[in-house]
Amino acid sequence: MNLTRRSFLRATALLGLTPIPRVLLGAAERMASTDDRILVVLELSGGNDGLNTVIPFEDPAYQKNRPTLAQRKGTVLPLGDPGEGKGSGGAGPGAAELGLHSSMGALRDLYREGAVAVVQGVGYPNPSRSHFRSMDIWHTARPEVEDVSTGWLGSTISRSRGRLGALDIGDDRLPLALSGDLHVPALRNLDWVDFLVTDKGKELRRRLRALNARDRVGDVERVRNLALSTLHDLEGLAAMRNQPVAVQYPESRLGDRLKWAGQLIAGGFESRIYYLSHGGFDTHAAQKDSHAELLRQLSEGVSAFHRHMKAAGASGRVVLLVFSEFGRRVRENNSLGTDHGCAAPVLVVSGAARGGIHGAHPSFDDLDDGDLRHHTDFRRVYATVLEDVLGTDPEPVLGGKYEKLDLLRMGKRARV
Amino acid sequence: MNEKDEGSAREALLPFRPGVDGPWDRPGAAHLARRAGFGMAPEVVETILELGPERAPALLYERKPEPDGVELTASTALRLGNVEAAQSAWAYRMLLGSSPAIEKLALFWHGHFATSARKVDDAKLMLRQIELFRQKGAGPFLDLLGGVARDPAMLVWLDGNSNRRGKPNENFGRELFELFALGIGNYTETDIKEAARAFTGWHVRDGEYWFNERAHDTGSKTVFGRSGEWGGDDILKMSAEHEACARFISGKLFEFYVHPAPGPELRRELASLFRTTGGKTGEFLAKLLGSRVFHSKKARRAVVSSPADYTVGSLRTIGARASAKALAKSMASMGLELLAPPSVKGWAGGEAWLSSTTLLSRFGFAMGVGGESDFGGEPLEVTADWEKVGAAGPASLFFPEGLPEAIGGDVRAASGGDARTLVVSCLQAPEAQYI
Repeated sequence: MNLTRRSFLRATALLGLTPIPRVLLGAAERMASTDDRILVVLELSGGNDGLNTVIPFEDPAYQKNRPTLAQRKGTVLPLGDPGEGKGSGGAGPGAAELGLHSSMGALRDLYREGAVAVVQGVGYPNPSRSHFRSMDIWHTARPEVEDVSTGWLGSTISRSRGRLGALDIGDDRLPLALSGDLHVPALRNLDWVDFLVTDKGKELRRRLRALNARDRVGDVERVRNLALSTLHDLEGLAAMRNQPVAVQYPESRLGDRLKWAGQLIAGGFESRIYYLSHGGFDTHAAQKDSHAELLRQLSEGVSAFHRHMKAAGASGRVVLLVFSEFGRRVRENNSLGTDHGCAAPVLVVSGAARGGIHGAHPSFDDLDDGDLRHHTDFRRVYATVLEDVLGTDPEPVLGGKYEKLDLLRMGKRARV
Repeated sequence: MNEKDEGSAREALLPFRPGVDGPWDRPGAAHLARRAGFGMAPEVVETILELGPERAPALLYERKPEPDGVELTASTALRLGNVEAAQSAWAYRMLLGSSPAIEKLALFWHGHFATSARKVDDAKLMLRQIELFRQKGAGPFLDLLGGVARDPAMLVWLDGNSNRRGKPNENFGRELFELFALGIGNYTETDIKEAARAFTGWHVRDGEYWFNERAHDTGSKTVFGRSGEWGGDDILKMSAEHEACARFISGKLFEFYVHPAPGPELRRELASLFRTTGGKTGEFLAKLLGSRVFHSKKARRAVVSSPADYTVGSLRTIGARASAKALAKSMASMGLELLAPPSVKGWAGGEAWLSSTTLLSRFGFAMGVGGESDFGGEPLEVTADWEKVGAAGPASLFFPEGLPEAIGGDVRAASGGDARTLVVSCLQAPEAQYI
């Protein structure tokens, strides 16, 4: 079933869920005639060990610094020489010496199809090794300022004046990245979708309408709007609920979140931005097995999502961006784990990706206090997806001009 | 804060004078009951009203004998050794224990020194840490820090055992400065590295703190520009005496207990008051909760109710009992999983408590309280004297300051006069998400 946004709106109106917040109403009407490119951001929380994700396995310095954790030739999954496989996968500097972690077979297949762009050495100046600070920096795109309360996507959404809708499928609170003037719905407890159409659910809706009928002021007005828009969103989700899914997603929390994003995208849900998170990457001790499992979940989940989008005919307009707040220290610690580091790779997965390796692996000869130095500012990645995927001028969002990277084969679009 | 408030920051912390600064009445007493403890049980509000605004706060922190069930649920959790039972035991104590203000302060410190069972994976150690917050949470901050730095759950949480001479692990040192005592920006990376050396050898063995002398680095360290052969206790003392500490802790307490936006003048006064009390949180709170700013209009209903306020507070207000397990699960579904904060930074609190999902969980809980539906998980099994609740009037129990105009008619119309339905409506109103 492919519910158009207009009929989606009508459906919610028929169910008696009024008043529909004007912001959402406007968004849906405008979007019905415009763009359909979608950005899915996947956050790996805790600091993913980038060095053991995209691995320079031929480099003696890598093997030397990771006496117990290094992936060896024969185990690691080589990304291969340019030209191997189909599409443009494998192209890029140094691809022959790079491999993916042995648990990432599914992602390696995608790479060979040309659907994965690996951006090497991503970070920002004067890196913070605090999870919170560094995550805040990635979320706000403002390394130089503290206490910024608007996220890079929240700011984008605000600037679009309702053109861009977003949905959060993550943990217990809205990520800072999505914070801004407009409320972003979150999706976690899906049983409600079924509940609302029962008699008790109808009674609840009636009561909530009554309790929230009148305007309030200040904080309470915000809660009122939240209650109303939550109900509205649930009705929309109900319509997507029973869509058949063409592919098998792995049974993990991440797999489930990606599946929901996939279902909603395939069903034509009004969001242009999806935000997902996947935690557990703070591998200070005994990381070998736990990190392998995390990467396996990532690889299989992302692969299923991409195949789902392909089956839905959407992979060319859906772009998945995978990042973490920092990489980890080059040298493994004495607890068979790794401590907080700096630069790390970012992955971009899409049918429209310019597959391959973008940029050189950061040098082991020029470390920053034991950590890899970045050569590519993360705001260049943001600038790329903001302009190419969301059709937004990146400059005001990022507070400066950042040169785009050549990661996507997508035509230029009119900005809003 | 407006200009006038800023100008009178010093007076803001002076004792509230009934009749001069405003009336001393039931809404005022209910405000103190909600903030210091959980909810507005009529008998608690009555006691506070009689004691008056100056005497009431200190008395709320006096320990009273606990009912048998508190001991029973805790010992069951220890016997079973599982974290879920420990979560239930704490939820039980919040709901039925004798000293809700002490439990709330323990919850504050739990969020501050946020340690998670997800890593510690030991119910006994987790409950022991919460007990530490009950025992030392109202005393001098330095004593609390000393307890926390030796707390077995904390040592497991922040990798104490891998902090050894020659191979320092910075985890505790970093969080001590960033999150526990000073706040970001008040120390350098070098301070962290050096402080980590001072805590080398602070290990945990068989579930107990153990000073592993062989792993301790006795060399000279330079922290905050001072050099010496510092040990862990020296670092704790230097942290507690650091000028940023009083500011950091008093500001955080204020935001938790009074309102989320103290201005810079007021922050200075808070820090000064905190120092005056010798860093004793209990004394500081007794003054703060009896102050003019606490009883000001700006502070009323200015704090987003946390999941503990919302759940435990609602049940206490109507004198209800409920399944402790379901209670703990309800809180978790609203974003507050006891003994499992999302990260070492604790819960963000404030507006972050309210999202589509957590609001739905609140609606579901409210339906559970009214017996309309156990939708959303574990049956709540609420028992209450509904006749008594009906006689007191749910609207005046939950809104002693008067039912907000915007919902007045609707709440009454929606309920048809039934006490349970009226309770559900009160709890689902947007106004009820603030305490």
